[in-house]
Amino acid sequence: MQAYIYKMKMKMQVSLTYRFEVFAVVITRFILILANVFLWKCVYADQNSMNGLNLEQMITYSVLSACLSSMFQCGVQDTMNKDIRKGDIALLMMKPYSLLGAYFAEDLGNIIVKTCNVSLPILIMSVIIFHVSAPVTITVIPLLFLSIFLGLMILWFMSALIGMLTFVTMELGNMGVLKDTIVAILSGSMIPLWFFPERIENILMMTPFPYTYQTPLGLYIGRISIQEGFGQIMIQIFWVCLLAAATGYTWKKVQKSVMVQGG
Amino acid sequence: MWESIKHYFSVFAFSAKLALQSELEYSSYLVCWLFMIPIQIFSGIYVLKVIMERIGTLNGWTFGQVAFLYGLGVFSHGFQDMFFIQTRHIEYYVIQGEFDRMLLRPMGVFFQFCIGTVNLCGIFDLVPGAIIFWYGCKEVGFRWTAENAFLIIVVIIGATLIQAAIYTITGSIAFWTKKSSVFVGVNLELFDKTTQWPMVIYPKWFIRFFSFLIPMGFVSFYPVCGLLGISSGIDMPIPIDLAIWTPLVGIIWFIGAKTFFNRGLRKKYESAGS
Repeated sequence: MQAYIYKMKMKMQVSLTYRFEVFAVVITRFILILANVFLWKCVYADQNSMNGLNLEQMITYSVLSACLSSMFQCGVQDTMNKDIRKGDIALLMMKPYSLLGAYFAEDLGNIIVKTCNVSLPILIMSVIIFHVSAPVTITVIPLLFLSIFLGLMILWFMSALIGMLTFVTMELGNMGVLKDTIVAILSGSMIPLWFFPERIENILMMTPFPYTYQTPLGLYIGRISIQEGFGQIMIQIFWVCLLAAATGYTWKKVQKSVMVQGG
Repeated sequence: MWESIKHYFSVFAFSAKLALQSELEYSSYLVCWLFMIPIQIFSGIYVLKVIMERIGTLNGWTFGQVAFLYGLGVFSHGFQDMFFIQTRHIEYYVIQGEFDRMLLRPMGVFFQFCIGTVNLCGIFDLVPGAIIFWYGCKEVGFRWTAENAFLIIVVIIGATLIQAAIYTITGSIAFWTKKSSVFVGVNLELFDKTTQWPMVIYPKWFIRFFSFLIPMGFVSFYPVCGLLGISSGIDMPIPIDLAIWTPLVGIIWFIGAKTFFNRGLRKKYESAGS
């Protein structure tokens, strides 16, 4: 355990070095939120409610979505890609800890740092400037944390699975960015899936994507009731287990095909 | 004069060929972009469509008009990606001392810098952009007269120059600070939200700021207003909703960017290496 905590701390220190970058990320996110808020204000100019959501809920949704996406940092695929390309992976695998666990610890460190210096500042700025409402009831808060954590795990296992492609292809290109794009659209991070035609929404609800962003956000704004929330959290747990199993299995398989380049 | 233009052009053609060849080496990157860029572009317009289906018009803009604007915005983004992607990486050039090589050659550094890269990914922007633009043209009944076609071409050129100029200026800050890549993300986000969404959704102060201080409004918003005969709602003593402003603003900003770049290069560039 100590090894993982050490890895996490190291990553946190590395992330904290780039202060100016953090500032730029906060500004970028804030522009995105600002543009979204203006868009929604314009959309809601003539009506009070759309798909069961009012303006305040919609603004809260998009602000929190930006906060979550700054928080959900899954760098595992890029780290894996780098380690495999440079051949470091062979040495890392000999170390007396689970390498996947170490990757997770590193990402966790990054997530903690990003939560503190990106997500929280933009949340505070947004609360002051826009009308971000509080969660519907206090009882929802524990559920909310649970579903954010499970959503994060879904994303992390997806990243790990994509990262492992490098064992086969030797180069991932920017598959990570491609994944992020797809997740942004299908998870309800860009726009809630309730706006999509019902057929598409129903199909998407059978994939793991909506359970990463839409479940926690929907719970927060009260579009998903607590009863429904329990159901969705069960589905989240199902996806986490499934993806974890897939990751574990693939990890075992690909380890056999480690090829070390260079010398 | 003619001879020197020919000379400059032959240098451009040769370095474009080299750039393309090196680009094709990294095919896995190309494949990823091939999927990602169209997905991003189409999903962006799809989100607007989904929203607009519920409300009909966005502050008076129909979906056809929005698609027209979106397509035009994507076009200039694509051309900027294709020919000026290096303007996003000035920081790298400064830190690695990449300008040393260019300074040794008998040609302007800014020119060499501009022609140094041809990024194939630009095509992945242009194709979806063309599809959306074509759809927009059909929906709004855009008439392809010689005059309109000419205006579209100069608007795209002008808009590309504006985008390249903004990236060059923000990138050139690296000459002073050694750090400027952080602006790339900010720029990308700003361009997305000001050139692919009709700016009518924003309050007046916001539109003015991004028109007269930073010329983002001229990339697609004002020219589309001019071409489609929509009022931008910005009261100015001179008519601003004209397509012809875009190439003018583009040329002026590009010259400004060149000056700023050269100033940084002459005064602050330190070279690298031992």
